[in-house]
Amino acid sequence: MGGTPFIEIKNLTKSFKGQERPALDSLSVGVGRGLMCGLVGPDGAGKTTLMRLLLDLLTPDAGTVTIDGLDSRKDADEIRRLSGYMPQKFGLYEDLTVVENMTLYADLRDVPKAARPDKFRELLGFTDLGRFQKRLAGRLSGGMKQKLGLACVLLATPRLLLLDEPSVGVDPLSRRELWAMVVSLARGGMTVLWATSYLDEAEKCDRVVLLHQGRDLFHGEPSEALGPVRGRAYALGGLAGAVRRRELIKLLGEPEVADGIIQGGDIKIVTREPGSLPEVPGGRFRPLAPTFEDAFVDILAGAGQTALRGESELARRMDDKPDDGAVVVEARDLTKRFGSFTAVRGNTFQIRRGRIFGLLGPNGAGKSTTFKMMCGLVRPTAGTASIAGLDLLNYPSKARGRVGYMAQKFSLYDQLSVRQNLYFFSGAYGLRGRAQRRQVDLMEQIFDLAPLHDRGASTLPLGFKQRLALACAVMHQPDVLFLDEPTSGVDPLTRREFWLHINHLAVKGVTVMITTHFMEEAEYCDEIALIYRGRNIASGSPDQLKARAATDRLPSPTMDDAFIELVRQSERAANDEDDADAGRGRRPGSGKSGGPGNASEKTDGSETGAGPAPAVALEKTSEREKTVALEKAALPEKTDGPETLMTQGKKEEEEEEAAPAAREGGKGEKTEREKKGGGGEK
Amino acid sequence: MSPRIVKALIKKEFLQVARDPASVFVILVLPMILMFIFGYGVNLDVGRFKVAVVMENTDPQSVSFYQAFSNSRYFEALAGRDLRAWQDEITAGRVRAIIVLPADFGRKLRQARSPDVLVVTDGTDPNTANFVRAYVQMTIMNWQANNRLEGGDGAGDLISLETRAWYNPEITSRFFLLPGSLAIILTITGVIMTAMVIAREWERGTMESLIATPASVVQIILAKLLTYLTLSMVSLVCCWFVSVRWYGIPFRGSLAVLLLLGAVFLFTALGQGLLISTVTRSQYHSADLALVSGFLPSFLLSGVIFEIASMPYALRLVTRLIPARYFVSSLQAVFLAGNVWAIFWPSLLAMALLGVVFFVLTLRKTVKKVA
Repeated sequence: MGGTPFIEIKNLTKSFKGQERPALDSLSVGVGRGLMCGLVGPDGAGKTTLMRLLLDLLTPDAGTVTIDGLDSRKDADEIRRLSGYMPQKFGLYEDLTVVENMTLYADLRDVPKAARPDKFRELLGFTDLGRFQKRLAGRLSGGMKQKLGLACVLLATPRLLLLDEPSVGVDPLSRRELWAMVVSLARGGMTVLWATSYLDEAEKCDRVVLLHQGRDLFHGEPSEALGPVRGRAYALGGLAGAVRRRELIKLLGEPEVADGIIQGGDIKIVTREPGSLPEVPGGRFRPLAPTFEDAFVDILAGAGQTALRGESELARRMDDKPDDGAVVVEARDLTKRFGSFTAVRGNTFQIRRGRIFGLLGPNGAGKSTTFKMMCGLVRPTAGTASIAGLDLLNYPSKARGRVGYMAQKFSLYDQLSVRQNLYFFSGAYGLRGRAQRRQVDLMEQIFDLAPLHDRGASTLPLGFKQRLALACAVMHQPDVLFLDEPTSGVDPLTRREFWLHINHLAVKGVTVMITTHFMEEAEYCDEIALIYRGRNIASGSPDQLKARAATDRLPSPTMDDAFIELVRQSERAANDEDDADAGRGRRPGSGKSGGPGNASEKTDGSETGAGPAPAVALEKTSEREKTVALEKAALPEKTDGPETLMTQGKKEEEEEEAAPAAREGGKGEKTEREKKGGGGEK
Repeated sequence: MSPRIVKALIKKEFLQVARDPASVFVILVLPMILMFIFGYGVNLDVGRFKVAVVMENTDPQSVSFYQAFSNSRYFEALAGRDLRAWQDEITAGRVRAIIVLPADFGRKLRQARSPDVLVVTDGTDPNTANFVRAYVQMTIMNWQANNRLEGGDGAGDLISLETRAWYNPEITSRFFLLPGSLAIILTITGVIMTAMVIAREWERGTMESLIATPASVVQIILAKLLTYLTLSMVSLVCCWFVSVRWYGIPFRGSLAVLLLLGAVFLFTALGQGLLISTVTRSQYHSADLALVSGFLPSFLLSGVIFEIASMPYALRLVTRLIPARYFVSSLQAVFLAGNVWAIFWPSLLAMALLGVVFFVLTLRKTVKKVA
């Protein structure tokens, strides 16, 4: 440290029209040269705005940015020359091939022709895209696209690397590979700014800037942030499904408890004071190492923001559905084929009343298709799906009437007001007249929406949107609640509030099915089905899955680790099968993944994106215990406002579109082709 | 400003066009379809009109007049004795016009006095009515001329009117429609495609990636313009070739002049497309706006289909802002008349001026910013 930081931000302020708060609010931060700095915060915290301001893609209202002594306004061209920027949206041309994209960026960045072959070889090796050089970028899987984007940015060896949420919407496996790439390629004094809404990624950075609503709540080394919560995190173990939910609700009402979540079979709490634990008859607390998320929640509490606690008013007002142990949601041999490609094969599961069931899996693994079949939106090729004993094929509307559905990113009608949304959705679920009016009034009261009821849904803050979306899904008192990535991108407090309701609803007998990329959410489930390549490769409680994934190297894996390990196990098994299947098989571990540092054993990688194996990733990460000098500065923050909203909408569309494409193209016939091609090369 | 960046971007554009079947369709296939429609489908020539010739007196002059109609390739003439008998026919649209030769028609001619002829047309369809009236007039004059030549009775030039359709003696509408339609076709490739492809860059987030590189906005836009200018010129040449070779349109000007006119028009069209995409940044809205501000005016207000001179004054003023209007008159001239610089210069000037306005507006709007 010492000296002038590489990036120096002073009193940076930026507002957008129509936004109540500035997106960045007088932010001052410094980032030392050569450090990996995590820019962490929920959606709308101001991360993208900050990155754009650094490159003069936006004009600040006030304040200055200096990068290596260059002024961001006056020397924008120079700054753009020395930096590489990977925007949040995939910024490459989908109708160009992998190599054509790289060549374009090499031309734009004036990479000398002589240096290209080596550079390309290195990057293609690292990204494991070597085999896909001629594939159109649009036909790569989500994780591979991100790796290609990163490769293009790294072509010219920038001195400043700006990555805007490269890991958003990417499954844990690809997330780790991306991280490993950055850590191993960003050498030689490259300064990296990595924006993310995944708090666990922050812990691995040299420095962290925690943005919230346009302000910086914290900047410094991650360990500093953890300091105040050390000795305050505990786990309470050994509780059965519904019991632990009730217990959590109770614990959150205790004065000693500052924060609490469910983690598999455990309840995790953070106490207000180290060592002062609430009384739990028969319960034993184990101390835990705090996480960055605990620190975030603690910092927010320090700033006067706390999550809703205790009971959920919503759940309290719902009718009790006595726990009769009945199977409420059932899938039997659910199969869906699109042409020759099988998106879901033989998926079978049951969910009993009042249980929370999670569907996990990499992008394009078949989660959404399964989900849609369970909602009756997609007709299964074979197998049956039923809700409360009603077959979705025979009684689609009756069965759907028992379901409350909350789609990704709170799909509300933006042009309608809060109240109009409530009326519309309750009407769609068959509520009429006085009953409808009563429910709408009740929802407005429970969720504090009454003062906002004439506002357009698009203008609501994220937290209120989430409340409104939940209200719309539960007004008709459904037996079953389907949640599609319900909390991605929201801050931890909003997520806690959401789960407070969901937990309590489950206690009241509502059955919940959820898809998610967030392992924090997976921990709330009673049972998880891990979907990979259309198949249910593992199911069980979060703790069971973690136990299955335990290895000598990682005796107590996190949910993330478990996810990755189980996917790899399944791949190994698939390889063995292939191997036995003499003709087109390829030997396990013989992947001709020639690239440097590439330990992939994957055969095709078309969907999760083969790459450096996770174990390698971890080692690389620890290797880099460099110092990050986050010189003091305060990064205030703000919602990106309309921009964020639009971006979200589009992202969603793109994902929807991309999913089938990735599945169909990425996995199906291509896999076959590659296998053949791969075999030939050997 | 380095040509390397522009070159790299142009290469990228061509790769994208080659991979996108929709672009190829718009550049090559769509123009052919439109030319087909304008060449065969849209035909402003009228076929054979059914007209009634009411002769109140069957003197030789009246009969000769009637024969003039029944021999005309434009008319199917029905003979009648009483106007009243035909009134219902015209109301029902079974005949397009009634020509009434009064009882004194032959006598007046013989006395070398001007007879009155009543022509009744169906005014509910003014366009056709005008055509019919014009054709009837023409036929009457031809008849008179013939009479004169034959030295028949009443051969004096009682009405001396002469019409001559220069350049398009047949008055085949295809001759002026097809050259005019090139303006519409180039509006589609120029305005609509440009608007869409630039909006696509914004929408897909590739623009943000590009402007974060050393490439400047001017370079990015220049690469787009050069690409689409080239492609549109290809369209133009294809259309020219097909017009002349397949549809047999005379081409009396020079190809170089046609290309000059096309290039200047495209400069304006691309500028318009650019402005649209810069303002909307969404493909959907770009397509909408390009259709309303580009395609429709070039179709309706450029003079291809509807004569500008017959538009109300206010609308005539509006047409002055439509680049296609200038292009259409130049196109018709370069095809049918030759290199008439008296028409070209003002047109080129007007188009260039509009183009400059579009580009200035665009540059003022596009700073290298994402929001």
